[in-house]
Amino acid sequence: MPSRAETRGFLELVARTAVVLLLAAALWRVVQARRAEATPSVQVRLTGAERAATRDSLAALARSGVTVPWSGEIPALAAMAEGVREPAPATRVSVVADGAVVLGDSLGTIDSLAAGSGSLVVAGVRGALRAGAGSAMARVDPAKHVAPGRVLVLGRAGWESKFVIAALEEAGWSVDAELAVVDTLTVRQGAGARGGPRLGTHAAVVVLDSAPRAAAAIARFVAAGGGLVLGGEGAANGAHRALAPARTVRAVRPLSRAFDGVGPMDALPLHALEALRADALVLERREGRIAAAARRVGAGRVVQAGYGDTWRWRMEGGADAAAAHRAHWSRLVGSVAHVAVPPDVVTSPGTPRGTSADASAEGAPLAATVHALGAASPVATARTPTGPPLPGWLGALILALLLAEWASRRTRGLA
Amino acid sequence: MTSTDRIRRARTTLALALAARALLVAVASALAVVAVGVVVDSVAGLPLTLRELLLPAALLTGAAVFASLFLLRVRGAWRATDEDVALWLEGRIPSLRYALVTSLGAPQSPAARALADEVASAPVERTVRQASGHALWRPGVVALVLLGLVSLAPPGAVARVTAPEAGDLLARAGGAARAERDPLATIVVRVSPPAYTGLPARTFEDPSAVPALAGSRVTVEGLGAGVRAIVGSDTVRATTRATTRATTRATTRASAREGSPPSWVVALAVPAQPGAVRLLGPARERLFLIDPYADSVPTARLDLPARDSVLREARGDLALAAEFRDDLGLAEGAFEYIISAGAGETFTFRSGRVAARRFDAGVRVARIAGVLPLDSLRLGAGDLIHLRAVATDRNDVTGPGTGASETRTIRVARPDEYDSVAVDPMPPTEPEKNALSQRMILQMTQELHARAPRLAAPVLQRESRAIALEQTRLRKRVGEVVFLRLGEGEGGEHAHFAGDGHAHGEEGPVDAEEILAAAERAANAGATRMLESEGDETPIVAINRPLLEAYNHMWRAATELETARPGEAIPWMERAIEALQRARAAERIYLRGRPARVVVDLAKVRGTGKERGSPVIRDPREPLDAEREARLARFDRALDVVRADPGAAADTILLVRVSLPADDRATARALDAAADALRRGGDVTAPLQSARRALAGPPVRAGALVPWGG
Amino acid sequence: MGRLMPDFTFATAQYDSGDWDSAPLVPANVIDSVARYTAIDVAPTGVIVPLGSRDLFKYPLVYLTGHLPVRFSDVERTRLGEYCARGGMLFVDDHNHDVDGQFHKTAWEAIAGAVGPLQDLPNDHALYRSFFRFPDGPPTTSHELNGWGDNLVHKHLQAVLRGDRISVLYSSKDYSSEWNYHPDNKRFFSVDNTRFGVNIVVYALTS
Repeated sequence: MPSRAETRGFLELVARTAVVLLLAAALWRVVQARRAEATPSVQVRLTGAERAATRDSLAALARSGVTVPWSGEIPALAAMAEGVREPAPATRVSVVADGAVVLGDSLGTIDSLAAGSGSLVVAGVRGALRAGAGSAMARVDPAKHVAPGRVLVLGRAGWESKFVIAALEEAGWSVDAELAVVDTLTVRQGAGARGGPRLGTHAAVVVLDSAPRAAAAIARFVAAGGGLVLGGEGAANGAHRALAPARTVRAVRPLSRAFDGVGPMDALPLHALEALRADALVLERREGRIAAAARRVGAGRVVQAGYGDTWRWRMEGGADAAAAHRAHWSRLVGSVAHVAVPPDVVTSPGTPRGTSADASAEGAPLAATVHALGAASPVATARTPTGPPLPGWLGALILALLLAEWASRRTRGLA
Repeated sequence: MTSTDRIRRARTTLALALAARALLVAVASALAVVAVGVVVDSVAGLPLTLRELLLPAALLTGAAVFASLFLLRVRGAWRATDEDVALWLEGRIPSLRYALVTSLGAPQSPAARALADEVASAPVERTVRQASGHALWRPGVVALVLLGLVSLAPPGAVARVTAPEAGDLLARAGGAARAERDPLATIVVRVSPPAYTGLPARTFEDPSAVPALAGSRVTVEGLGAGVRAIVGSDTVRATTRATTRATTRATTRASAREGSPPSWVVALAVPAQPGAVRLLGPARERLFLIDPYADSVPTARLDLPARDSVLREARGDLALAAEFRDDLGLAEGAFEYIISAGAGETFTFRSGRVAARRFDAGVRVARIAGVLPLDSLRLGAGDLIHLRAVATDRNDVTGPGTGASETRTIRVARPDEYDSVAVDPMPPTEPEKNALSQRMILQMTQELHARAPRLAAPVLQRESRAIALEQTRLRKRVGEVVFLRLGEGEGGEHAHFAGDGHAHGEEGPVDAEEILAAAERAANAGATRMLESEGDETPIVAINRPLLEAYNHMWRAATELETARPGEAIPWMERAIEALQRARAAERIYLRGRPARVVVDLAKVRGTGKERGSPVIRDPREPLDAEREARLARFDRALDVVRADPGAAADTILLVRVSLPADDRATARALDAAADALRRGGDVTAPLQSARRALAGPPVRAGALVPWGG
Repeated sequence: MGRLMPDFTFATAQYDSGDWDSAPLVPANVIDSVARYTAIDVAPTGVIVPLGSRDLFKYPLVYLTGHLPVRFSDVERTRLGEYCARGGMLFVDDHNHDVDGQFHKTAWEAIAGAVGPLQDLPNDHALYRSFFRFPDGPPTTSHELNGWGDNLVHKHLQAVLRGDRISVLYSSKDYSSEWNYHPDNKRFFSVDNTRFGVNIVVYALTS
């Protein structure tokens, strides 16, 4: 058993050692503080309305060694603009946000989206499009409009063919057509109607009947980048089954006889799409049945829209039915139309198509900020030291330990 | 003259002086308002409505000032007592030392007599004159100065305030200097409607677009010289090229008016379509738009006869009544008839007008009445009278406009159709009479139902049965109409209903379907194959089904009434009325026989034609609005120069406006507003946004194809 | 699923003021010819559609004829205007074959009020080559060659055009009499006189 003197000697050693360690810790803090003082830092508060140039400046600062912690409640917001592939220039703006979004351009407010996400087709946009949600502001440049080529409509003499062509032509599309009147006699329009569609001349082909016409040429056309719309009875055209999103179709009668209901499509007969291919995308359903679907084939696109007799919508629908029918067919064809992008619209590698080369364009302010500066600091605190290298409590502890050791030694009679 | 007389004369003089002073102050106040108005108008250009208020405001100010001063000062002076006046004089003539006041207090006292000489020698009149002059000279000078200032101002500038009128913008101060620099700085357009309208001329100052009734005369005025006008534009769409042709006939002249500064006038005719007028000055050019609108054609409503009818015999007079309306003035109204006689390929026609009447100028709503004497028309069985009311307006420039009412067809029945069509006298027709009666029965029943809780059971039962009796009588009348039509004769009801109560002891509702089917079989007998009617029902069924329904509802109602339950009878009566109304609506269907139905055997004839068609080339159709994109692009170019040259932007927008389709009035209004805003200056964002939205259309919510876009 | 409606159904307009049913065999005759010469899916019988009903819009080609005055009611006028604006085509034939007759006078006025003024249709219009070739314009009828009616051989048909498309086709040639016979009797003709009817149908279905 150690003697009392040995115990006290041990405790004195512990106290001395503790003092040394505490002094070492204090020295480390001093060194760290000096080092931190040597690193420059800029603390910023962001709202999301900053221009891209401002954000890029901060990112450059961070890369040059300056610490750039940032804070601020930037609402999640993303906007994208793309030109529609239709004859009339227009821009489709898609927005996703947490709350209501106000859309505008250099002339002022264009519209608002209460739901916080949605897509609008706007014409006459001037300058960059701005989408504001809370304090955040997204800016996107409308893509340059490139007019699509001609459309080839294949069908038989009937109201559906007549009014689909009328709708497309009224919407500004240049149409070639081949409408069968007798097996050996067709009504033709445009020189391009002979021999099926050709890329370079045609942007899309619309098949409205079940006749196996120019099937091979259409397959080549789609594989090379052309668009194909299988509409109405054309949706059930077996000659294009290899291209169609659905392998089979089932004929369904209209849900209502009149067009005075909620949806005009309910009054149309439907070739419901079934046995969809894995790569097909459902675009529209009616009472659980697939009414329209799309897929990519090679470089081209195919839409299969099962609604038949859409001419009745135009003739029997409400006051705006003709315009709605026109817009429906124009968008349907525009969704698959091949557009030859001219060199001045081709963007650099890595830049998504449709986005702007303008440095000021910024479609997603929060994402861009995080990408440039990292995640926001939860609390706006500086990394620079905020207190003295040796805190008061530490000094007091060291002094107490030294005093205790000295007192112990004195009471033991040591120097 | 006694002291009292002198004091009273002084009071009168002073009161008159104060009144004159009040008048001068009032005049000066009014002149001040006018002068301020002239100055502000010269600097800032006051709007017409404000200027129209300025002169009344000046007169009101003057009157108010005069009234205030009169009440406060003049009236006080007039009512002052002799002592007050004496004291006022004592204060201004210290040498009197209260002699005047003393002499007034006791004029016959010795003291007063002692002071008489002192009073008599006092300069009372001079003092009063001096005080009066002192009171008048300051406001007089102010009034004279203001009058001088107003007189020195340019007469046009003063007239703009004292006698403002639309179009006096050219008279605004500084106009000559502005015109010397730019004769197009200010223009005034006057539109004189055609004389037949009786409308006053309208004036537009610095307009972007001028609405003008077709046939109006338009004059454009401005100050300065060297101005030319070009009407029409090479950018006008094909539909408006007629404008160019029409307006090139217009006499375009620029003339200098007498006096200084010189002014120019251009006289134009209103084009048929909206057209831009391009004014070319030495320094710049300026556009405005003439937007013509047409004189509406009259509207006519034929009140009598109220509906198509079939006559058993064409005898007596047919009452006619019509109402006409026109926006500017009716000229003439009449009833027009065409009588068609014959059948097959041998129709003959006669036509004529009755009750024609000319209207005085300015009549915009008129009613005419007349009769069509059927006896004199020599109508035969099967003949048709097509009758309508027609009216013409007073438009002697582009008209006259003619409006017509709907046409009523009156037919004389053939003997062979008496049993199959309505041959009742003209309105009210039989179903309508029934409906009126049914309404009366319904009202009686509702009243009884309301009183029922307060009635004793025997009373309720008695009154209810009385109504039931009326209901039964009416039901039988309807039954007679139906069975006459179905060719059963008046006894048809009894013959048809096994349970009608008369023949078999018990009444009951009829089986409408069975009866109608029987009638249908009877009507079709003899026709081999009938052409399928597009409607679901043949005319016989369409007319008679609702009558049969009404018949059955009436039976139900009577049954409820028989058991003293008026509340339960009411719904059946309402249904009966509704069915009778439907029967009345179905009366317009003609029972003129049905064409033979031929069904083509398609399988047999398909492809059997000997001739062959030849290959066909279809012509493409034009886009619905091929100019839309061009208009948007031009509008965009206008926006480019909004800041640098708002006038040029306004001109560009007006050219876009000219190229609009004629029926796009909403966009036209938006563009007019934008051009006007640009000319006025200030914040033009909102009107430009509206114009852009009108041109480009509202944003469209993208549909299901969105995920597939890009 | 069979089609709910055939591609083409011949519709005859029923209007309030006149004898709309004066040529009951024309529909069958035209239907017969359409089937005889083309592969168009045509209904075997015609239908009658009131001009003032919404059913009018189910038939983008409608035939209207008669002898008596044509006075459209307000509803008929509105319907017809909307029908043509949406792309419908009305074929009107004067069964009186008389430009001084009441049908002609009133029909012109009624059409002008509802759709627009009629004007001569050029004889090289697409209508005359939409299936059979008629290089001289509208084929003549025996009625006009025989001097009936107005004793004129009409050189042109008239039309109200929207762009270059026919909204209303008007004939004074009395095809209603010419084609108003049972189709079985076509075998007695060396040249089918209803071929122009096929042109009208094919034009309406394809242009």
